[in-house]
Order: sequence, then C-alpha cells, then structure tokens
Amino acid sequence: MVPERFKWMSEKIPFWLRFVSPLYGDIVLSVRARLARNIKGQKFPLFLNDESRMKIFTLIHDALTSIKELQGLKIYDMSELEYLERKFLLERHLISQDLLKDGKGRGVGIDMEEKISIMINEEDHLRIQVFYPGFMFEEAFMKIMEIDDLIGSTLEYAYHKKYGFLTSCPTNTGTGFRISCLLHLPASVITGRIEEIINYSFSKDLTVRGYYGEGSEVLGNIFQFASLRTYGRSEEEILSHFKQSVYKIMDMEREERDKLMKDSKELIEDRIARSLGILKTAKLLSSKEVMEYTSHLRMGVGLNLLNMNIEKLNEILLLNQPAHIQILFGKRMEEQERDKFRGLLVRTRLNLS
Amino acid sequence: MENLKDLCEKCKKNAAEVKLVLYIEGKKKIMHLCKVCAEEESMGVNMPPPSPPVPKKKPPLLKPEEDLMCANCGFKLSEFLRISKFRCEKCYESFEPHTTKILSQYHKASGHKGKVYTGVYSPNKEFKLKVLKRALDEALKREEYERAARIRDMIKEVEKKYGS
Repeated sequence: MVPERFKWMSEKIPFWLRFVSPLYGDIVLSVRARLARNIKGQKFPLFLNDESRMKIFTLIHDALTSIKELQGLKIYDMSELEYLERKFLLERHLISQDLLKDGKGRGVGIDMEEKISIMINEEDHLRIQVFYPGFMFEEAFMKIMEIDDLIGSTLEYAYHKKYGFLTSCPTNTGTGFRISCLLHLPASVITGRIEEIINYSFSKDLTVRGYYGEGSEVLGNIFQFASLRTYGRSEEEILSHFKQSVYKIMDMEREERDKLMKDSKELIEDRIARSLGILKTAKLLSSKEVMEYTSHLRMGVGLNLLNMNIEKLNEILLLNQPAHIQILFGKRMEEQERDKFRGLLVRTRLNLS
Repeated sequence: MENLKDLCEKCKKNAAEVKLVLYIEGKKKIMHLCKVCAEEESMGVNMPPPSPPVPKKKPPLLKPEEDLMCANCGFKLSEFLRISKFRCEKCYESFEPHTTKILSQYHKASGHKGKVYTGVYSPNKEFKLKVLKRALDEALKREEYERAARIRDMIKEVEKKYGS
C-alpha cells in the first residue's frame, strides 16, 4: 500500500503552477525566493547529533505554530515519511535533495497553497522558501520578507553586525537571500544559443542548474537560474540585478524563437505535431519523454502554433513524475508499470479538452 | 569493418553512427551510439549546463602552529578550510582574519549590506514601498501593463495595511 498522507496534495496543483501569466507563461515557469537562517546559540545542523537536532526541530516547530499568520502550515518530520513521500515532496520542489535522505529532526513546513516551504535542519536551521508563478518576483519578495520578520521576532537568529546573517556555508552569509526561477528555453537549446545564455549567466553571477536544482539534470528544456552572491549587496539589489538578467535571457530566447519561425517553421510545426501525437496515443511513456514532448507543446503555445491551455501542460509536468504517479494511483510501481500508468494519465488529460 | 569499437556503446548490438556529447553533472562525456540509443540518451538532456565556475580553492597549507580553534565549539580552522562549512556562529570571529578574506573573495564584496536584524517585528513600510515603486517603473517601461496593475494593487495594499 502507498501511504495516503499526501493524497490530498497530489490531487491539486500548487499555486505556482496554476496561475499562468499570459506574458511569460511559456518561458518563465516559476519564481522562488529563499532565506537561510540559524538560531542563535546553537551549532549548525550538519554538526548536530540526533538528539540535539530533535530539540531544535521541536523549538522551531513550536515557534512556527505559535505564529498566527502561519497557522495553515503543516509540519512534517522527514524520519516519519517514507522515501516515496519524500520523493513526492522533492518532485513538488518543496524539499531539497538533501532532505531526501532520512534523518531524525529534519523536516519541512508547508502551507496549503504551497506558496511557503520552510525546511528545518537542512544545511541551516531554517531555509525559508516561497514559490510564485510567472514573473511574480515582487510578490515572492514581499512574502518572504514578511515571513522572515514574523519568524525573526519569534525566534532569535544568529546575526552579526559585520557579517550579517550567519550561515553554515560562507556562500550564504550576509543576507542569506537567493532568488531563482525556472526558465523554459527550448528554442535556445535547438539553435545552440543556450551556451551563450549559460556563459552570460555566469558572467552575471547567476548559477544554472537542472530541473530539481543542484546536481540535477535538465529535463524538458527547463533550466533553473539562481542568484549566486549573498554578501555585500542588499536583498533588493540582488533581486533587481537578477531580474535584469532574466529579462535579457528571455529576450535571447525570444530572438531564437523568431529565428526558428522564420527559417524552420515547418520543422517546428512538425515537432509539435509529432509530440502531440505521441503524448495523445502512446501506451508507455517515460518521464523524460513526457518532459521533452510537453516542452515542444509549450513552445507551440508560445508561438501561437498550438491552441492549448498552458495550465494543462503544467499539470502534466507535475503529475507525470515517478512518485506522483504512484501516489496518485495509490500503487507502488516499478518503472515499466509506471510508464503504463503515465501513458494513461497523459492520454486522458490531453484528450480531455 | 565492424569491430567492437564501432558497436554502439550502449546496446552493443547496432553499429555506432552517432557521436553524442553529454554533460552529466557538469562533466563532459562522449559516447558513440547507434541512432536508437542516441535518441534515447539525448532525450531531454541536450545541453545540461556545466557547473558554475566556482574556483576550486585549495586550502592554503596551514602550518600546525597557524591553526586556530573556535573557543565556543572547538572546531579547527584547518577543518573549516577543508570542508568550507562553519560549525557554529562563533567560528566566524574565531577564524579571523580568514573569515573576512574568504567572504570577500567569494562574494567579491565586503561588509554586510541589506536587512539589519533587530529581533523586533517591524512592518518596514517605507522599504516595501520603495521596492514596489521601483518595480512599477520597470514594468511600465517594459509596457507590461498587467504586471504594473498587479504591483499597483500591492502598493495600495501596503498603504492600507500600514496607513498612508
């Protein structure tokens, strides 16, 4: 049997995938902001034994539940979850690869809309994250600053006038602030301009990662771009600098799309048509295939070559992932069986219109 | 003509016709594959990015007498330089001048800028308005009216919530 704990969550689409900005929906999937924070007077989590980690977990748990504005938060202890359930949370970007590993006293607090995820005892005592759709950088920024004010006036943070917020890793010291977004760049991948985009990003102090963040591979032409430096510049400066770079990357992708439409429209139309055909009829589908083919459809929508709801593509993007398939159908499955149920799911969703 | 080298590295059945360059976790890998396997392998991983150019910093050789210890947690500077993680908040001061040097090298800046922590809740109204108004200008400049309207609503909300 598959645990039912996350059944409710598996049946709904998080806010960051549900609302699609008409202006950016085909390129900017989502925006994430995060803050790294630690509790004053406690060793950093990597150096704690189970017992002290549990103590801090309880301390943070009690503080979070005491905050009126965070009442909707559900807090999970990682050691009480099965691997499949943790994988499920990872697929929803609610926890990191790091929390996938078992560990007493490590956990996450999530709100119903999945706008907020607060990881407890990851690399730092607190990793506060918020998720927003499209280009909602300001919404994400306001939200995370507000949550930080609420938690910071309930728990005492480790802070130093000269260094700023103190984190386990010196790469997060200072503001502890990082802003990132998932960008869908299929045209740049086809034409090869992606290399220029990546080099540009590095020159602008951005990191580029795969779909699940650090150390993960790129799926469906979706790249994660994130700000790199945290010290010596304010949160607002980091945000504004990052937005400028994202604008630039979006413009480059648009240029490549225009080029493709001009030079190889038939080829693109063919790719979209084939992708649609496969997704609508195939009996067995791997997750990689689904990511790849839905990427073509998403580009098709962006180029006005295909009339389809981007929300529907987002839904497939989310639900077709391995742990999601199993929780959704309430059945533990090996890869081959998953491919069958994935085929069923995608076929059904796409033929419903 | 067909020797082992010319067979597809993956299925080892068909002739290798495609040279595929893959980037796996930032490492370049070249594979000689048949068409079928090449298509499978390249699915969705056409161009994963190489890792960001984080300079591989070799810890400067520390003479034993130069090593420092954090008085609060007993962590050694040499350990910190090896794993790049502090053990407790006091390590920062304990490992000076190395802390300042490492922070300014990595972030290419010196001294904390941004949010000042007081431990007391404050609505930060002026700060919020400043950020939003700047975003509004930017959205208008780019003729993104839908977004501009949303930001205007946020400004109204902040003004209402904290009094104008």
